[in-house]
Amino acid sequence: MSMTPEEIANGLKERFGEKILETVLDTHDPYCLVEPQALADVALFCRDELGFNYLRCLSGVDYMDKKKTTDDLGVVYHLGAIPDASHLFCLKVRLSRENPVVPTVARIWPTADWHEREAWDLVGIVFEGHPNLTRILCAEDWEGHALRKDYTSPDTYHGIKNNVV
Amino acid sequence: MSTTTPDIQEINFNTDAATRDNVLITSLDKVLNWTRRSSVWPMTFGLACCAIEMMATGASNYDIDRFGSGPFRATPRQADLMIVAGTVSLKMAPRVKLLFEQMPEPKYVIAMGACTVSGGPYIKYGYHVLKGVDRLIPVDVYIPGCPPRPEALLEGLFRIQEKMKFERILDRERKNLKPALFVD
Repeated sequence: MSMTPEEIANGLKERFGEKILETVLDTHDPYCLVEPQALADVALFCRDELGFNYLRCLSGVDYMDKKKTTDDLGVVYHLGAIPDASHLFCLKVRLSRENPVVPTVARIWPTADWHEREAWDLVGIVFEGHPNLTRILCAEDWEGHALRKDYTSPDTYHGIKNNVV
Repeated sequence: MSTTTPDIQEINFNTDAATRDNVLITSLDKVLNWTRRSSVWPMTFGLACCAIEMMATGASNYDIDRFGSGPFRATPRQADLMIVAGTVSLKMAPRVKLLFEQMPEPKYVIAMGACTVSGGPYIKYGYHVLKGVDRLIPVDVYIPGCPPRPEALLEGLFRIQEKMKFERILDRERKNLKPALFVD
């Protein structure tokens, strides 16, 4: 049941209307920008109605650029299907830096569980409703989120001086 | 003929041929150092890609067993030598220190590879990497390389053995066990 990106985007727009903020199809990975609060519904629709039974990747993104024109955070969901490897699409959300909250998809695709913990650990995105949103890579008492572009490394950790002399 | 062992005073060390051929006289320091450097037992402690080279050093091509350093121990209690092979992350750092403290004296440390020597490629942007394991534990031998070849690790072992050669039992207390950059 391979669908073209146009068909997928039209299906989403038909079902969710204004919740789909932006659609970009002429890129390597065609995507729809989704309103954050509607993300869980869109994801469930993608899985059950559009046949995306597999979450290929979930990435946290810091969109801050050097000129500080934007300081948004974001999450990118790469959807796929098994066994139809050519059935691909992409969902994105943009979140404010002050309150980066998005509903979890860990119950829709269980593989998102650890991916979301990683995005929380390194980029600091809060996944509302996640069963166990704790750090997965950094130590439990780590401060800050290390892959944010305005992050600075700590000079000491547990009394170990770690600054570059 | 009486078969009782002769009293020690009766042995003439200079003339008794059997004694002369079978007794060696040396200093205790020399014997201890010889035994110690002939059986350096490293701890199985691979943290990253350097551990692959360490395994290669233990395998048949390079065969660290030839130099008495074969048995990689799975517990710090039985090890003399800690080969810190690989990137030490800050999450791992307290564990490295704990393992070092659990090793019995005398103990030796090899910092293997660029990461353990100085932080290596992570020196500037590695938020999670300890910038040199000598900030945590005292290091005897540094082996640069990314990763060092097995020959380099063997050379590091020889340097440790060289160090063991001239140790004296009377000044066993090792120099400064506290690394300079560690604060309690």
